[in-house]
Amino acid sequence: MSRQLARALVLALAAAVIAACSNGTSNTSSNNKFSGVTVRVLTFTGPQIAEPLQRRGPDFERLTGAKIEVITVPFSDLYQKLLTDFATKTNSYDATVFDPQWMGDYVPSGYLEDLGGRIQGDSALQWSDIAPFFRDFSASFKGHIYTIPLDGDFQMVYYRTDLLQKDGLQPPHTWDDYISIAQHFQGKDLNGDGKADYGSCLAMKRSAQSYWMYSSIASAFIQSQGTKQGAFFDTNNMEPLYNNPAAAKALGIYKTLSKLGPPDQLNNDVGDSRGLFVTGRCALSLDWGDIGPLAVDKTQSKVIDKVGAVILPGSKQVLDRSTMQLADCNPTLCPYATNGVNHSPFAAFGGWSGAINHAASTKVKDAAYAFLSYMSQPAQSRVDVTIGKTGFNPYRTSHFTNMGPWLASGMSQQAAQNYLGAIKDSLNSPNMVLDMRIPQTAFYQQTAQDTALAQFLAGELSVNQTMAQITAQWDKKTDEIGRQSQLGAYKASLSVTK
Amino acid sequence: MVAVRAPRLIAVAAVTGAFLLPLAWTGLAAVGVLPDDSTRPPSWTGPPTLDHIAEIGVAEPTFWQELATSTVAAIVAACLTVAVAIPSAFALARSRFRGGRTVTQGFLVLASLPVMAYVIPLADLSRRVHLIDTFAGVTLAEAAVTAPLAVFVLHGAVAQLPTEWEEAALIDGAGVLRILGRVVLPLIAPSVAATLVVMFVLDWNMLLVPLVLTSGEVKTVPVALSDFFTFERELDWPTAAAALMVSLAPLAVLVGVFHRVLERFVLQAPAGRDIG
Amino acid sequence: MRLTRRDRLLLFAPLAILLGGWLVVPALVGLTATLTTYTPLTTSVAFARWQNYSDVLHDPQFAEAVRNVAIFTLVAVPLELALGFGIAYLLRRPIRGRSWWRGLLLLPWLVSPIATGVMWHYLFSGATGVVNFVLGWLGRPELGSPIGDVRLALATTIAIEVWRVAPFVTFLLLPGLVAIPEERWEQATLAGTSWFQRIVKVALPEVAPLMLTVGMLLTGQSLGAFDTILILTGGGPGTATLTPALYSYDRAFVTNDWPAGAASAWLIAAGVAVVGAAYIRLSGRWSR
Repeated sequence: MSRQLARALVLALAAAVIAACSNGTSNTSSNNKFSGVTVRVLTFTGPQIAEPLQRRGPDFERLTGAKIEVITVPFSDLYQKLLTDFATKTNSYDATVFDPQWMGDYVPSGYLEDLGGRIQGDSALQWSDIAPFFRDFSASFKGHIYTIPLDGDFQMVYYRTDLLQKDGLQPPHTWDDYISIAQHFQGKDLNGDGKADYGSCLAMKRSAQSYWMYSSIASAFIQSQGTKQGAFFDTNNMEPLYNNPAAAKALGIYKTLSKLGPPDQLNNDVGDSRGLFVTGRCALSLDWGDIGPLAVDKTQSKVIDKVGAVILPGSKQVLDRSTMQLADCNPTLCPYATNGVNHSPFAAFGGWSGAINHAASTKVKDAAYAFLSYMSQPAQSRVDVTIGKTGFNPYRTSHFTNMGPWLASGMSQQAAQNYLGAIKDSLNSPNMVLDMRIPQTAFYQQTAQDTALAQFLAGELSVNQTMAQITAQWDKKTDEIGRQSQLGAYKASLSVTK
Repeated sequence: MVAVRAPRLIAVAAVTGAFLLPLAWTGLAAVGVLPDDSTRPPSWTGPPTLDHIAEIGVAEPTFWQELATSTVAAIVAACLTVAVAIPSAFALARSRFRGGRTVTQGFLVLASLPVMAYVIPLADLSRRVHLIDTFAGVTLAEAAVTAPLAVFVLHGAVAQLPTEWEEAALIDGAGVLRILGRVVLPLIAPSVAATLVVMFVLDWNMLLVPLVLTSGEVKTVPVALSDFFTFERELDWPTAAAALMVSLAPLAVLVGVFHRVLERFVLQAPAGRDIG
Repeated sequence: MRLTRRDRLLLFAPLAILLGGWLVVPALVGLTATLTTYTPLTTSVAFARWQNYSDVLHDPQFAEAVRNVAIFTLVAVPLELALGFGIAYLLRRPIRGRSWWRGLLLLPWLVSPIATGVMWHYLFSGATGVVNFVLGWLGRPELGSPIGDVRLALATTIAIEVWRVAPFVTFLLLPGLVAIPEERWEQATLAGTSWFQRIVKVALPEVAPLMLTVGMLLTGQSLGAFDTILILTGGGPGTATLTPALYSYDRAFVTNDWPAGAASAWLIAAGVAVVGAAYIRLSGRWSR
């Protein structure tokens, strides 16, 4: 793998040189603008995310004179450590590349710098090249911009093109399709090693990524009227949307899929499910964009050019919010449906984004902004998103139109088109689901939802008990913090103004 | 008796082999010898290689630095623990007061207390006194975690010593510190060395203290390992195995070098009765 | 020799400062804080009496965690003691290179708990694991990892803990067994007792106080079981391997519910205190 990475680095370097030449004029003029300034950027222990920041830091220093110091902590501690640092006014970090879900905690308390003005005067950033969902929803809170997206995170379904083609099957359009394909392949040998393989591999481990997987399924049934409708709470009264026939249906699907995979699936996280998928042991998987680059990694992949991606499967029935029952899609209920199927691609996690500490000095904030902008500018990001190890996935229109870096990373023309096509379908969807971003989101998802799902999968709770437990804990927390303020935060995250 | 010895050696070898099999498997993976279960019967892949050890530095660019931090932190913490424990163990063994034995056993109970029980407020206090994320903060906290065990073990070592030499030195007019340094310490030196080694191992492997008391500046190997595997890990098994073996190696060498001295690490149950 | 009061103060001072500052004071401050609404981020604090403890004790998750850790401790500690004693018994008389065997046997304990979790995760998993390699040799279909099975998960974490800790028990018990005077064995052999009787009549009475001490250490560590399980299962599947320490960590550091985290952690300390009191009583009776 070291050789693979070394090659990717050489490529990245080459691309950077080319970019530097083509942008020569703007670079030379700004030389040493920030000399003597040190920007301390906090993110999580790599190699993902931290790697590109560390790799490009010295380049940036040569261009501007600003020294970039990347500090990493374990992911599980990042939220708490940032919050404590901000809240106690320790302010040891000038910028952070973080999970934008935490904006719900940080923005209302005034910890993050409003970046709107700087972005307006920054043509090199090419802001309008960033996909609308990431510009208008992911980077914004109550209409103000607080982050620069560096990573386009949303979930997709991956399938084995060779297997589906051989058996004359279509990629899944709905979750029912997904289940029937998984059933078809469960127990068959899918990679020629003589051993029984699996229909679908998902991350279902407790305290890992399970709650995102479930929300990816549930969203298809819950949100149909566009991002602003929201898929977690009713935007009128903050009532949870996880206790109704739609949520129950999704739980049923989730349970079914727990049995159409490896026998130890309940203890698999995304590291395991990715390993299984790229070694050819699964027909289907549900994941972020990461499988795309991993599937062409020659050192570990056994499915090179055999992987296709599609937008998250949808549903022909969705939750009618007036009756809180499942109802068949029609043009009013599902305005964004294609062929009668409502797709709600889920921007799980929301993509690593850069933000700046409001309390830093202006000079440092300017340097920090310039660095985040530099990381996001197409010349840099279009290379980074093709390297699996960066953890960065595409989020700009130019990431799809410019095929060069993808082909250079080892993808075939067809694979790149297929992968990017699925990403484009999801990114362009006006019905993308924004992940939860309210104060104490960590409690709602990682404690309440994740625990209930783990218990449900293990057979400790029934469907109704699971939904009741999630909603009861959500409601209790909402009332504890204040229903009106939580509702306000939820609406602000969705940029709902009324 | 000779006849009995051979089967016993075989039994010892078998037990040792069984306990070490998982580590042997990991060691093979670290040098790139992996099971290939796509053949039937399964076979092994590849000739041995050191690539995976080099790859640790690619997967975790700061790994070697973390290894250095771990080493220095564990040395400092172990020395601090033992330095603090020696005078206390001596004082405890040579003081005769009611409940003295209970106090000694109290140290063992304290040594059994999981770090989790008090690390949450400790993190908060450390932050308030600006010791969070500092080398001093981590090593002091680690030293405190292991100090009760060191006191208990060294107390046992001192308690076994006859007191005549100390009495003689006292008659010669030596002060208590001089007696401790010149008379007691040389006599318990093997126990001190054994305690140092065990404390080093405990500090080296400690997770919670450095995890909770740091935020990026001071990073030890266990913290780095925990992060690989609790979030979106893409580290593959041979690299993980290599990292594991590299982090085990210093301890294995240490125990190998000091294997004789380690026999002096004795949990002496405090004997006798309370002296009133 | 007699120490003066001043000598004692001088000798105890460094330990008192270290343990006071980094263990006792934090623990007591934590205890006080959990009786209030304090969190590191709030500015106003009100007295809350036992509310935090009541919340934790009424949380079914915590009840599950207590149940799991009770089983974990009650099964793992006796197994560790028995296995550790058995191996130490094998090593009690000089055999060629005994201290080398002793050092080699200590290796599993040298692997950090966190690395133990990482290692067993892979050893159990399909493509890289030792279990399926052997099954493949035998031509049997592969098995899923037992840590992914609700019924086997806790038992598996116990087995891994025993693997790691039993060698350490051997390390601690061996000096006690070696110290038993040779005459005692000879007497027993001459009296024609079986090997089992020799263990019961000669070895166990001699090392019983030591085993009690080791048992105390193991019990305390089991009650705080954390590192290995964090990696292996994260407390799952379901709540099968959740422990109080995982619960506390999760509350305090992941979901920012500081009072619940600190209160549940104090309950671990309370558990250790109960066991510790029993230990002090028992060992007092033994040495009389």
